[in-house]
Amino acid sequence: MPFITGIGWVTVEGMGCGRQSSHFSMTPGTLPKIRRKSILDRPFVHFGRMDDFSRLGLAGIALALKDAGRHEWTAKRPVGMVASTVLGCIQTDMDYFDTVIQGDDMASPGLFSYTLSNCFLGEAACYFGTNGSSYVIYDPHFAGLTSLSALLLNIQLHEYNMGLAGIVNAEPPPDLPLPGKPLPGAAFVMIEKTPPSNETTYGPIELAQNDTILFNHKEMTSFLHLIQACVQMFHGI
Amino acid sequence: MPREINAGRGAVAQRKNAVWITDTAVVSALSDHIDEIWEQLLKAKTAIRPVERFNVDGYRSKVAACIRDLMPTGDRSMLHGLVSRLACAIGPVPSDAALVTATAKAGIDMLEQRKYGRACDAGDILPSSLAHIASQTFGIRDQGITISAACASSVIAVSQACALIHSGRAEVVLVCCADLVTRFVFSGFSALEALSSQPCMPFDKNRSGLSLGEGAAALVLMGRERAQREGLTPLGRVCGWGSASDAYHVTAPDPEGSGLIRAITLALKQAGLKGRDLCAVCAHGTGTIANDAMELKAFAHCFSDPGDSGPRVYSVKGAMGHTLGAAGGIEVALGLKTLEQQMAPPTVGFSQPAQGAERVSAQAVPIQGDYLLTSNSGFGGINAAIVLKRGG
Repeated sequence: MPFITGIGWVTVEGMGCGRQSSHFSMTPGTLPKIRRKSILDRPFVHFGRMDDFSRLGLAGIALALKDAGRHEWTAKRPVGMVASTVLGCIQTDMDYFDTVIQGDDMASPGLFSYTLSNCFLGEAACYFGTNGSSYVIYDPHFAGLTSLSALLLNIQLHEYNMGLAGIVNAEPPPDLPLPGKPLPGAAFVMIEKTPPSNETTYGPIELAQNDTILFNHKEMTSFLHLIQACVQMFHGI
Repeated sequence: MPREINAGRGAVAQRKNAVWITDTAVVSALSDHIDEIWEQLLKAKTAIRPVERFNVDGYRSKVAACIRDLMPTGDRSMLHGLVSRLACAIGPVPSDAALVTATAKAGIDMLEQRKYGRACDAGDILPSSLAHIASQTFGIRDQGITISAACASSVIAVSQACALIHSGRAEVVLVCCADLVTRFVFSGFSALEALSSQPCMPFDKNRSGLSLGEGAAALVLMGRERAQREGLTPLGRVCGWGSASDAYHVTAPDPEGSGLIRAITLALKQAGLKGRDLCAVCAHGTGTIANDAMELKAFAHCFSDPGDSGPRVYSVKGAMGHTLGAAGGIEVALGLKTLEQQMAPPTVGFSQPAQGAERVSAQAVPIQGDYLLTSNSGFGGINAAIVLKRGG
């Protein structure tokens, strides 16, 4: 059975890792500005040109990898990455199309590349040397468990032995009439089939045959529920 | 001739719960019907022509493969029309099917409408809109998920569908993929200097970029036991799949093809096959200098056996343009046709082979064998491959 070995998040309240913070919550509001030095140890030339959605997702991944002690590498490794999102990079889409409307010679090629919402996973792969499968799932449901289900299924079928699953939702565009707006933030969990030792894990995680997600043999109702359960378990709350 | 399948993990899984493809539909700028698309392909026809949908003054390229009579209806995305055409072209889909959709930019035409101050359905702007539209149009209960991995979206969606069936979580999965040609997408690829001024020339030594296209595909995947219960015969079987990242650059492929090599290796391993067992490869073949060179390098690595001339390689993008997130689904459907007809379609636009493109042809070429590999590579440095088998 796979185990959760790392947790990282960015919420309105700030950035955190499971082992360092005993409190996690996701609330409406304004997300903190993400700076390279607050999430990455080494310089990353692409960071400056990345859109807010990509920085948010990259931050969640970086913090989860660090929490798991898997952020350093020498050779590329098959780590899968799956992220659920409700709105994807819709604000980036709007920003890019503004540059088109201003005049087609103004269309920003750099910004356009980030209108593909999986590109932040590619940036994470470049920085952390992960060459497993990576993709985004557009999920209109706010529970955000689809990425976890997909990753656990891929691990179950031996496509890879470790991976990151998470949710990424930037602040919704204020002027877009959407049916519902997800809470802003990113949260990722690192999952390993064979962790170095039981002491390095938060607990076992499982995709049951009825498609429910079980953490420590208890059903999780949302990604936020899972993160809270992990934090409470680790800090004995 | 193909060798006997090794009894690896993949082969065992196939025996337990083989994934059959029992029905397909494709809508592209060539036609709304897969048989007509196939005929047009064999005649080396192209649907890449001057763009009329939006103003292309000022762009280096003025061509794309747009579906001529596809237009937004009222405040709704063109995706509705595209998916409706698919539903007309496919047999009944079981209402208990799980739904996995794939797209790069979904209903981005509605975001454009909004920016121009025109009426638009906000629900269609959501990137998950394709799953909602497909669920309603095909009359299936599952609300589905939408996978987005740029140009590899569909192949990953098919892989995920196979995983659901293999693991016993679903008996039937509908994979539905679609993408549109819009000013948003056209201007972006133009700004990246990725568009060819002429219809694209995959694997040609004079290639200079891609041509955009729009299209959609629907694939019904079913566990063998369920299909047999329903008295269905398979169009083909998915034998293996693999996906990998380059970890090199988000908009440029790894020149060494490391991610594609890994994706192909994983797919072949799961199928219990070697490169020499394949009779054809449906390449991504966009016509960009970097993509095609990377693919040829990866193919040379994966399929070169001393004394073996290797599988036929073709690309359909010179005929119907690069349909982005829909490309893989369309190419799986046409790959099944290739196997059924034992004929590799011509690579339209190809004339003088680039280095390493000796197995590509401008003419339709008879093939002999049961296995075909189809692959896609996309922004984000993602690569995905699938091995198909003729029949069940």
